[in-house]
Amino acid sequence: MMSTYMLFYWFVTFISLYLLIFWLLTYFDKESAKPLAVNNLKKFPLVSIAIPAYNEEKRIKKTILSVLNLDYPSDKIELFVMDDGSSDGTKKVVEKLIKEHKDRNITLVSKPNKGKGAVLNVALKMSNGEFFVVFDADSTVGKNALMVMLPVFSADKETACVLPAIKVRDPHNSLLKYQWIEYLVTFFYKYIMDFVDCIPVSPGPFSVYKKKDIEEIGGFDEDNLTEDLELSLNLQKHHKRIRQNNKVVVETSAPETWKSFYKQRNRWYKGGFYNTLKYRSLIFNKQYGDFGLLQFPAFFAMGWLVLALMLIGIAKLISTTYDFFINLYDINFDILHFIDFSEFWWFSIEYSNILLMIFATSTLMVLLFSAINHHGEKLFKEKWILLPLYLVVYGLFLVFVWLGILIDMIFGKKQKW
Amino acid sequence: MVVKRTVTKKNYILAFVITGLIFVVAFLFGMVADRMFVEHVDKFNDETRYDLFRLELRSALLEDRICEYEFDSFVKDEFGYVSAEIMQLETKLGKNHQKVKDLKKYYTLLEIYDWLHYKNIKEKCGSDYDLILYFYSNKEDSQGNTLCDDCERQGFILGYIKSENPSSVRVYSFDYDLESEEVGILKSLYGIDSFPSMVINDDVIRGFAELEDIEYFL
Repeated sequence: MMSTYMLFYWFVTFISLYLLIFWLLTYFDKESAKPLAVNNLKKFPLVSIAIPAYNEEKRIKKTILSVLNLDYPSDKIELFVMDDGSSDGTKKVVEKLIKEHKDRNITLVSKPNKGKGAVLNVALKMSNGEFFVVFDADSTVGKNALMVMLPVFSADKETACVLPAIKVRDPHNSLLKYQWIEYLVTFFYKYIMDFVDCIPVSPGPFSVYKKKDIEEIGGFDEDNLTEDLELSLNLQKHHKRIRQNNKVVVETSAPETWKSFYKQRNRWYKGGFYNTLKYRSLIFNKQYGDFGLLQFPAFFAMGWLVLALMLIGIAKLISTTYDFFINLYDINFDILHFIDFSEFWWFSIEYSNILLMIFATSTLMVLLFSAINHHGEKLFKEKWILLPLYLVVYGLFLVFVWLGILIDMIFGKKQKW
Repeated sequence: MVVKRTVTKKNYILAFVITGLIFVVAFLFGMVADRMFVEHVDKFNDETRYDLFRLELRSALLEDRICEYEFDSFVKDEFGYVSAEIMQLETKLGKNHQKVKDLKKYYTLLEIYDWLHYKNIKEKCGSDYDLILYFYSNKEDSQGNTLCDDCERQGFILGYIKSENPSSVRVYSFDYDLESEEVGILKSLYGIDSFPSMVINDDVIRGFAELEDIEYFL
């Protein structure tokens, strides 16, 4: 039992460390970085922006205003607000905004609730632009977005999608601060993945697509937990390029409570799992280069591997605790006996493991600080303490999420968006 | 137009080499630590042999007047801990590791020697300390389940008794399965055919015994 578990433990540790080092190597291998075209736009193509909204009366005004403020010719932007059967005042807020901005091309489409993928397909059909942008209603985009992102498409003919960096807006509690760090790391990661065409997901906030390309591959999946992931995997399947441009920043509202955070991640990772199954033909498929051989299998397996490791670890912890209490019972709860440990206590330490953990943690730290540095952010005084906490609390929580997904699957819980 | 996919072989290999190196360094480090513990136990055994030798000489010199002398805290009083150390070594290096086997056999002999000496003094001088022989097994079946579920628990209780009465109780632990003729003789002397078993002074207890049961015999 012990040795099988340890073997599995070494295996997962090895894979994790391997992936970490692989990406750091790719990062430091500057030659592999693809240049992001920074030339100025010579002409301004029409851009269609779709904002799917479901009960967003509180946040949608800011979202729309950030689109209207984009540094781009206003007659070259058409905006579709897709009200997906909201029961709150979303419609009213948007109608008021349309009245206030009569000079702008804004269309409000109200449909009975059909799901995000479905309303996006409606918008795709209605749109006339060369580019199609999905823009979640809970986010705001930086002014420079289109001016910086559109030239990237002209760098080559394969690029079908360009993504901005996403940051957590106003991280005022510790959960938001954890996510703030997580987003920095994620988008640093995606920046590196860009070097080797390995980006697996184009998230909802301000992903710019070449309209022709997404029409070609059949648009958005209408019955999917994570239609954004589905679309990007479909793009990868068709060997289309997805680029990451962190010079553009989109600010998004992240879940503020652990409960809503759990719900979000449960949906994301579950959607991730099902979509990986859907595109399983790409796993270890040499045709897909680094994406098929490394990134996609890791994307598929790591969550489950870590979950298995943690579950066995927790089971071991329980059995150790049980033994401890048996021992305590056997000596009539003379707890002082345990405090008086012998001079040989250091003998029982797993030294190779400790050293390995030191290596792994320092590699992680290199990654964290590279990420923070990459985004030009600083860790404030009070956020320093969050780094170790980030690794522990956050890691445990994500395992909890995976456990929830496993349980949902076992009991066949149906889930909608 | 489609993306021309590539496999960045260089980084696959380099990452593998670096990760491998980190693992090798970590395991070497662990091996050095284990080596240090082996040496520690080795040294302890040697020192104990020396102490026992002196003890024997003194007994021979004094002959009948042996009871007039106090002998306590002469021989290293770390027997319990060292047996725990050897157990740890077994889990780290493996039971079949030759060095561990040797250490264990040697240590077993020292234990028997020490026990004989104290038994002798106890009989001659009527001293009131208690000598406990403990036979355990840490053998596993092919599935890796331990055959003696209670042995570790029993060992813990005995360790507790020893630490509570450091000057009046001596505990000697013997691996029931050790390929040692001396342990075999001990087993047949007291009719030990199962584990866990204990010999407290001259009383034999077969099977798991709670703290109170053992204290009854002390």
